[in-house]
Amino acid sequence: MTVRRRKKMKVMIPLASMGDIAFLLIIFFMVVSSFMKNKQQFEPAGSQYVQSVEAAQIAVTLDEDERLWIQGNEVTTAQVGAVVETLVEQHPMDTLVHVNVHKDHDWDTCRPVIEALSATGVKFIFTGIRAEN
Amino acid sequence: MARLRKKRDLDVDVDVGAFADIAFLLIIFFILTTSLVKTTGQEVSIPTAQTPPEKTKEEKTPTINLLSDKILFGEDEESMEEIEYPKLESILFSMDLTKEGIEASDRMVILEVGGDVKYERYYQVVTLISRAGGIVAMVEEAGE
Repeated sequence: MTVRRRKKMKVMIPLASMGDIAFLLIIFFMVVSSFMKNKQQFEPAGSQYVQSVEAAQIAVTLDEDERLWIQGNEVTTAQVGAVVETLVEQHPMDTLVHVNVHKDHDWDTCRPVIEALSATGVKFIFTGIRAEN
Repeated sequence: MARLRKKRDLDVDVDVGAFADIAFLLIIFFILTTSLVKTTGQEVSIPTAQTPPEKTKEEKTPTINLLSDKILFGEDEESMEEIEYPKLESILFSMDLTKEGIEASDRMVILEVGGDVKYERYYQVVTLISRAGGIVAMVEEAGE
Protein backbone atom coordinates (compact mmCIF):
# COMPACT_ATOMS: atom_id res chain seq x y z
CA MET A 1 0.00 0.00 0.00
CA THR A 2 1.32 3.39 -0.90
CA VAL A 3 1.27 5.92 1.92
CA ARG A 4 1.00 9.43 0.69
CA ARG A 5 2.34 12.25 2.74
CA ARG A 6 -0.14 14.94 3.40
CA LYS A 7 0.71 18.01 1.42
CA LYS A 8 1.70 20.87 3.76
CA MET A 9 0.00 24.22 3.42
CA LYS A 10 2.13 27.15 2.38
CA VAL A 11 2.04 29.57 5.34
CA MET A 12 3.08 33.19 4.88
CA ILE A 13 3.10 35.63 7.76
CA PRO A 14 3.12 39.25 6.56
CA LEU A 15 5.98 40.65 8.60
CA ALA A 16 6.62 43.75 6.54
CA SER A 17 3.91 45.74 8.32
CA MET A 18 5.56 44.98 11.67
CA GLY A 19 8.57 46.99 10.57
CA ASP A 20 6.34 49.86 9.49
CA ILE A 21 4.61 49.93 12.83
CA ALA A 22 7.93 49.82 14.67
CA PHE A 23 9.29 52.76 12.69
CA LEU A 24 6.09 54.71 13.20
CA LEU A 25 6.38 54.11 16.93
CA ILE A 26 9.98 55.36 16.91
CA ILE A 27 8.92 58.54 15.12
CA PHE A 28 6.03 59.01 17.53
CA PHE A 29 8.25 58.79 20.61
CA MET A 30 10.92 61.01 19.17
CA VAL A 31 8.43 63.71 18.25
CA VAL A 32 6.70 63.53 21.61
CA SER A 33 9.94 63.75 23.60
CA SER A 34 11.04 66.72 21.52
CA PHE A 35 7.77 68.51 22.33
CA MET A 36 8.19 67.74 26.01
CA LYS A 37 11.59 69.41 26.07
CA ASN A 38 10.27 72.61 24.49
CA LYS A 39 6.83 72.80 25.98
CA GLN A 40 7.66 75.93 27.93
CA GLN A 41 6.72 79.08 26.06
CA PHE A 42 9.36 81.77 25.94
CA GLU A 43 10.64 84.20 23.40
CA PRO A 44 14.44 84.21 23.32
CA ALA A 45 16.44 87.40 23.55
CA GLY A 46 18.42 88.52 20.52
CA SER A 47 22.06 89.49 20.21
CA GLN A 48 24.59 89.74 17.41
CA TYR A 49 27.05 87.77 19.55
CA VAL A 50 25.35 84.39 19.48
CA GLN A 51 26.75 81.30 17.84
CA SER A 52 25.78 77.67 17.47
CA VAL A 53 26.21 75.89 20.76
CA GLU A 54 26.42 72.31 21.86
CA ALA A 55 23.34 70.53 23.16
CA ALA A 56 22.42 71.07 26.78
CA GLN A 57 22.65 68.41 29.42
CA ILE A 58 20.45 70.51 31.68
CA ALA A 59 17.95 73.15 30.52
CA VAL A 60 16.66 75.87 32.84
CA THR A 61 13.76 77.88 31.47
CA LEU A 62 12.04 80.96 32.81
CA ASP A 63 8.94 81.13 30.63
CA GLU A 64 6.78 84.09 29.69
CA ASP A 65 4.48 83.46 32.67
CA GLU A 66 7.50 83.71 35.00
CA ARG A 67 7.31 79.99 35.73
CA LEU A 68 10.62 78.26 36.19
CA TRP A 69 11.33 74.86 34.66
CA ILE A 70 14.31 72.53 34.97
CA GLN A 71 14.34 69.56 32.59
CA GLY A 72 10.61 69.96 32.06
CA ASN A 73 9.75 70.01 35.77
CA GLU A 74 8.44 73.15 37.41
CA VAL A 75 10.51 74.37 40.35
CA THR A 76 10.66 77.43 42.55
CA THR A 77 13.54 79.92 42.48
CA ALA A 78 14.65 78.71 45.89
CA GLN A 79 14.96 75.16 44.56
CA VAL A 80 17.11 75.98 41.50
CA GLY A 81 20.50 75.54 43.15
CA ALA A 82 19.64 72.26 44.84
CA VAL A 83 17.97 70.77 41.76
CA VAL A 84 20.84 71.75 39.45
CA GLU A 85 23.40 70.34 41.89
CA THR A 86 21.49 67.04 42.02
CA LEU A 87 21.39 66.90 38.22
CA VAL A 88 25.09 67.77 37.96
CA GLU A 89 25.90 64.74 40.11
CA GLN A 90 24.11 62.59 37.53
CA HIS A 91 26.24 64.06 34.72
CA PRO A 92 29.86 63.36 35.63
CA MET A 93 31.17 65.10 32.51
CA ASP A 94 31.63 68.85 32.37
CA THR A 95 27.97 69.74 32.76
CA LEU A 96 26.53 72.33 30.45
CA VAL A 97 23.39 74.23 31.41
CA HIS A 98 21.27 76.11 28.90
CA VAL A 99 19.55 79.14 30.39
CA ASN A 100 16.39 80.10 28.51
CA VAL A 101 14.78 83.31 29.69
CA HIS A 102 11.84 85.13 28.14
CA LYS A 103 13.19 88.37 26.68
CA ASP A 104 10.67 90.76 28.26
CA HIS A 105 11.31 89.88 31.89
CA ASP A 106 12.81 92.50 34.16
CA TRP A 107 16.25 91.92 35.61
CA ASP A 108 14.65 91.65 39.06
CA THR A 109 12.81 88.53 37.85
CA CYS A 110 15.85 86.88 36.26
CA ARG A 111 18.51 87.80 38.81
CA PRO A 112 17.64 85.21 41.50
CA VAL A 113 17.75 82.42 38.92
CA ILE A 114 21.07 83.50 37.43
CA GLU A 115 22.61 84.03 40.87
CA ALA A 116 21.45 80.60 42.01
CA LEU A 117 22.95 79.00 38.89
CA SER A 118 26.16 80.97 39.32
CA ALA A 119 26.51 79.69 42.88
CA THR A 120 26.46 76.07 41.68
CA GLY A 121 29.61 76.62 39.63
CA VAL A 122 28.30 74.97 36.46
CA LYS A 123 29.21 76.13 32.98
CA PHE A 124 26.19 77.79 31.43
CA ILE A 125 25.08 79.20 28.14
CA PHE A 126 22.52 81.96 27.75
CA THR A 127 20.51 80.87 24.74
CA GLY A 128 19.21 83.45 22.31
CA ILE A 129 18.74 84.24 18.67
CA ARG A 130 20.94 86.14 16.28
CA ALA A 131 19.84 89.73 15.89
CA GLU A 132 21.39 93.01 14.84
CA ASN A 133 21.72 95.42 17.73
CA MET B 1 14.44 -0.25 3.38
CA ALA B 2 12.29 2.81 3.22
CA ARG B 3 13.70 5.67 1.26
CA LEU B 4 14.53 8.74 3.32
CA ARG B 5 13.09 11.78 1.75
CA LYS B 6 14.50 15.17 2.45
CA LYS B 7 11.92 17.41 4.05
CA ARG B 8 10.95 20.15 1.67
CA ASP B 9 11.65 23.64 2.99
CA LEU B 10 8.74 25.96 3.34
CA ASP B 11 8.85 28.86 1.00
CA VAL B 12 8.61 31.80 3.45
CA ASP B 13 8.90 35.13 1.75
CA VAL B 14 9.34 38.22 3.89
CA ASP B 15 8.68 41.34 1.92
CA VAL B 16 11.21 43.90 3.08
CA GLY B 17 10.89 46.31 0.20
CA ALA B 18 9.02 48.85 2.31
CA PHE B 19 11.88 49.07 4.81
CA ALA B 20 14.04 51.05 2.43
CA ASP B 21 11.27 53.59 1.80
CA ILE B 22 10.71 54.07 5.50
CA ALA B 23 14.40 54.36 6.21
CA PHE B 24 14.76 57.10 3.62
CA LEU B 25 11.77 58.93 5.07
CA LEU B 26 13.44 58.75 8.49
CA ILE B 27 16.68 60.12 7.11
CA ILE B 28 14.84 63.06 5.52
CA PHE B 29 12.98 63.62 8.78
CA PHE B 30 16.21 63.77 10.79
CA ILE B 31 17.96 66.05 8.31
CA LEU B 32 15.09 68.53 8.49
CA THR B 33 14.59 68.48 12.24
CA THR B 34 18.30 68.69 13.08
CA SER B 35 18.66 72.02 11.33
CA LEU B 36 15.45 73.32 12.89
CA VAL B 37 16.37 72.69 16.52
CA LYS B 38 19.91 74.05 16.36
CA THR B 39 20.43 76.09 19.49
CA THR B 40 22.29 79.36 19.49
CA GLY B 41 23.62 81.27 22.44
CA GLN B 42 26.72 82.53 24.17
CA GLU B 43 28.67 80.89 26.94
CA VAL B 44 28.97 83.32 29.81
CA SER B 45 31.68 83.22 32.44
CA ILE B 46 30.32 84.29 35.77
CA PRO B 47 32.53 83.78 38.83
CA THR B 48 31.05 81.55 41.48
CA ALA B 49 32.70 83.31 44.40
CA GLN B 50 31.29 86.52 45.76
CA THR B 51 33.72 89.36 45.12
CA PRO B 52 33.50 92.28 47.53
CA PRO B 53 32.73 95.37 45.39
CA GLU B 54 35.02 97.60 47.49
CA LYS B 55 38.05 95.46 46.68
CA THR B 56 37.41 95.32 42.95
CA LYS B 57 36.75 99.04 42.75
CA GLU B 58 40.13 99.76 44.34
CA GLU B 59 41.71 97.70 41.56
CA LYS B 60 40.13 99.86 38.85
CA THR B 61 37.99 97.15 37.35
CA PRO B 62 35.98 98.18 34.29
CA THR B 63 32.43 98.74 35.46
CA ILE B 64 29.28 98.89 33.39
CA ASN B 65 26.16 100.35 34.94
CA LEU B 66 23.28 99.14 32.82
CA LEU B 67 20.07 101.10 33.22
CA SER B 68 16.83 100.88 31.27
CA ASP B 69 17.54 104.07 29.28
CA LYS B 70 21.33 104.45 29.33
CA ILE B 71 24.67 102.77 29.82
CA LEU B 72 27.34 104.17 32.15
CA PHE B 73 30.93 103.00 31.88
CA GLY B 74 34.06 103.75 33.87
CA GLU B 75 36.82 102.30 36.01
CA ASP B 76 35.50 103.68 39.28
CA GLU B 77 32.47 105.62 40.54
CA GLU B 78 34.02 109.03 39.80
CA SER B 79 34.90 108.26 36.20
CA MET B 80 31.53 106.81 35.21
CA GLU B 81 30.19 108.43 32.08
CA GLU B 82 27.31 107.77 29.76
CA ILE B 83 28.17 105.98 26.55
CA GLU B 84 26.30 104.45 23.63
CA TYR B 85 26.27 100.72 22.96
CA PRO B 86 28.62 100.88 19.89
CA LYS B 87 31.16 102.84 21.97
CA LEU B 88 30.99 100.24 24.75
CA GLU B 89 31.49 97.58 22.11
CA SER B 90 34.66 99.22 20.78
CA ILE B 91 36.04 99.86 24.30
CA LEU B 92 35.57 96.24 25.38
CA PHE B 93 37.14 94.80 22.24
CA SER B 94 40.06 97.28 22.44
CA MET B 95 40.83 95.96 25.95
CA ASP B 96 42.06 92.77 24.28
CA LEU B 97 40.82 90.49 27.05
CA THR B 98 41.29 87.36 24.97
CA LYS B 99 45.06 87.65 24.65
CA GLU B 100 47.16 84.80 26.00
CA GLY B 101 48.53 84.90 29.52
CA ILE B 102 46.00 87.38 30.86
CA GLU B 103 44.85 86.50 34.36
CA ALA B 104 41.21 85.86 35.19
CA SER B 105 41.15 88.77 37.64
CA ASP B 106 42.22 91.12 34.84
CA ARG B 107 39.41 89.90 32.64
CA MET B 108 36.77 90.82 35.20
CA VAL B 109 34.10 93.30 34.13
CA ILE B 110 31.68 94.45 36.80
CA LEU B 111 28.10 94.61 35.59
CA GLU B 112 25.58 96.52 37.66
CA VAL B 113 22.05 96.13 36.36
CA GLY B 114 18.99 98.16 37.25
CA GLY B 115 16.00 96.14 38.42
CA ASP B 116 13.74 97.40 35.65
CA VAL B 117 16.14 96.55 32.83
CA LYS B 118 14.66 94.07 30.38
CA TYR B 119 16.40 90.72 30.04
CA GLU B 120 17.00 91.30 26.32
CA ARG B 121 19.04 94.45 27.11
CA TYR B 122 21.00 92.58 29.77
CA TYR B 123 21.51 89.73 27.31
CA GLN B 124 23.00 92.01 24.66
CA VAL B 125 25.53 93.44 27.09
CA VAL B 126 26.43 90.16 28.77
CA THR B 127 27.00 88.42 25.44
CA LEU B 128 29.13 91.35 24.31
CA ILE B 129 31.30 91.12 27.43
CA SER B 130 31.68 87.38 26.99
CA ARG B 131 32.57 87.65 23.31
CA ALA B 132 35.15 90.31 24.15
CA GLY B 133 36.72 87.80 26.56
CA GLY B 134 35.49 89.31 29.80
CA ILE B 135 34.28 87.58 32.92
CA VAL B 136 31.02 89.03 34.12
CA ALA B 137 31.07 89.94 37.79
CA MET B 138 27.58 90.51 39.06
CA VAL B 139 26.89 92.93 41.87
CA GLU B 140 23.74 94.08 43.56
CA GLU B 141 21.38 96.07 41.40
CA ALA B 142 22.21 99.73 40.76
CA GLY B 143 20.92 102.11 43.38
CA GLU B 144 21.23 99.74 46.33
